[in-house]
Amino acid sequence: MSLLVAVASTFGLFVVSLFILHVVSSTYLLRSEPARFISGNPDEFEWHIIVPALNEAAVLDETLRRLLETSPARVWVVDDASDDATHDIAASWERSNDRVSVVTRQLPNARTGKGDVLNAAYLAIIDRRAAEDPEALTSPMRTIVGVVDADGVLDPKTFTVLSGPHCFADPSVGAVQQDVWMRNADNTNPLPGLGRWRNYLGATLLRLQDLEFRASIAAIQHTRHHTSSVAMGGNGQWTRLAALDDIVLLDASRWDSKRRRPRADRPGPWHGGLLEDFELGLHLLMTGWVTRFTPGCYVAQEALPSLSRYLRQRTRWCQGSMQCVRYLPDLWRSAFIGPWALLELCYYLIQPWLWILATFLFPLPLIDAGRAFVRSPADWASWVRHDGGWMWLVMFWGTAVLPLASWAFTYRAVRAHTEGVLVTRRRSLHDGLAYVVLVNLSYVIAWRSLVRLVRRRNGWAKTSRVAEHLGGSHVDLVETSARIG
Amino acid sequence: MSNRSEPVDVRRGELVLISSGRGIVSTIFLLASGGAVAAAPFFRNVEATVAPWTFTRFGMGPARHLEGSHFLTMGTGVPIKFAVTTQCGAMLLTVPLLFAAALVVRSPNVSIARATAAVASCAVLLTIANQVRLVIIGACARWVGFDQGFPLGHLLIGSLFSMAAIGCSVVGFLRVVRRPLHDQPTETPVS
Repeated sequence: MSLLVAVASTFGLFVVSLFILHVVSSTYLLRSEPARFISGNPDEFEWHIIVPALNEAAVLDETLRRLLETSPARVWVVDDASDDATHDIAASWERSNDRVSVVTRQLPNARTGKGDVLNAAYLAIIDRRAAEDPEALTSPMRTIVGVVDADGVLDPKTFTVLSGPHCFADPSVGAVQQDVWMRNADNTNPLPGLGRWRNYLGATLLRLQDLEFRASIAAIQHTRHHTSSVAMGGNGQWTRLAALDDIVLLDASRWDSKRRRPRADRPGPWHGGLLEDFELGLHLLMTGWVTRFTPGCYVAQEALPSLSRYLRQRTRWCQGSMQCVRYLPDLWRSAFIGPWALLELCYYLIQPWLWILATFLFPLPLIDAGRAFVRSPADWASWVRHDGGWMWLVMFWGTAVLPLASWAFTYRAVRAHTEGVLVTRRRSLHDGLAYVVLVNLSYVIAWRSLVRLVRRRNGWAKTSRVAEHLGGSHVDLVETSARIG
Repeated sequence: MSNRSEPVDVRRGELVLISSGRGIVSTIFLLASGGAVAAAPFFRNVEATVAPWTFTRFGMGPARHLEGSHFLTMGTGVPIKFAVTTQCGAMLLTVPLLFAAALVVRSPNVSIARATAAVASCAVLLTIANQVRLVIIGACARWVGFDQGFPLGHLLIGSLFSMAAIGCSVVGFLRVVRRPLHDQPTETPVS
């Protein structure tokens, strides 16, 4: 037992030290490095935006209007056999605007996961380009394919930033992930009619998701720029067509050599896991492309005001990370993955498993202290008061809480810098402590994911939009049979 | 780079097979991490043996190791007696680094010798840092008084010092293993 406690204590000390190192270094990088938004010329590139759409009638019309107003891109709406008016809305836009194309997927081949939706759009782009005059065709190196969710709002600067020297003007860059903001982060009444207490929790949850993306995740992505392992996200993900082609070409099973195009049954670069975006990033790195993150432009999306939906979304992400462990041998073998990237990616991939392990190890010192308390409460109280026990408690909670809570103050600085919005110190302290609670839900999420993984429950429905959720037309959350490639 | 040709023609992302040697070295590192856990209760005796020498160097003498044990005493008259517990030793702190080395040596981009050197140098660094930490505990106990000074040095200052040492060793480990395996070949123009 004593050796086990020693191992647990040391494990805890090491993890806390690493975590503090990570928080300090990434916060420093986030706050000290100039935002990389040196502009380029968007006219040098051909732009395509894929909008996956499954029952998006509530938001699609507005999203398409905004995308067409603010971007030079052709927009590909992929209707994944929606039950609502999604297809009609998309078709109406296709008729009225020659920059809109609709790709229709039909059951039983539809609703098989976002990766398949993106692959369908990729094939449509290839086919359209094949039909064009080869002389007038833009090179795949200068053709950029973006993914914007149906609730996504693009920063008007997006295309000039993405055309800049930090992004696609550098020919080694295969993909760029832009910053993600929550567009409803400041909504103080996200659940109208559901009472003050639930609205307080909902509003806090909205802010925490914005905090998470703009402080914690943005800082991690900044660090990944230095380890050459920037990850792709599901929204605001931009990839060079040449890089997507390389992923397909390098996987013989995905290439139809007779027709010289991707195979119809395994057609594209997205690999169908629950984290198809992260998988894409891995494949890009393993094929030698550089991936970048830019905080110089953002895509705004809806945050979730409901804890149960948040947990469901994060469980899906966590389960996706657990599935991606299968890529470890490929990462080890890849000649393109450097040691820092390898360690960072390994850490990311085994993180959910560490949470499972930490569920057992982290409480051990506390259990040990609890046993001492049960044995002799008077001695324990004396230890706390006179023998430095309070220092132990301060250290334990200080190191566990402060680094996480500090993200709220980084977020405060980021919002002041990017939007001129002043978050009060009191609000930052509140959100920092709330964020500690939210992060500790990772243990619950990891266990939920593990149970689903063991039970081979790999199907997930998309997360419903806030408008749908409140409007009573809640998207059916019955699981679909997503294929895990 | 972007030519649409058969997969065999565009093996730009050629995956290099792991040599069986790398797998063996990786396994050795993993076994070593298990060995480090098993050796930790014994290694603290070594640390307790060295500590009096360190105490003396930092002006904290006289200090004495109680032979064959993990105890040491400091001071004269009624000396202060310290126990180097397993979790206070440096050996367990090397385990995560051995794990990390086991991971990176599987990559064809990492020199096995460099990974070994990184682990070894970090282990030495952590052991030295742990000796300094023992001195900090002793100094706090002497200057502030045992009742207040020992927990102050042990739990607060000592732990913070350990965290800093771990951070330095991780950074050192990363910097050593990151150095390129080979010099980048320079391209010779084809005439």
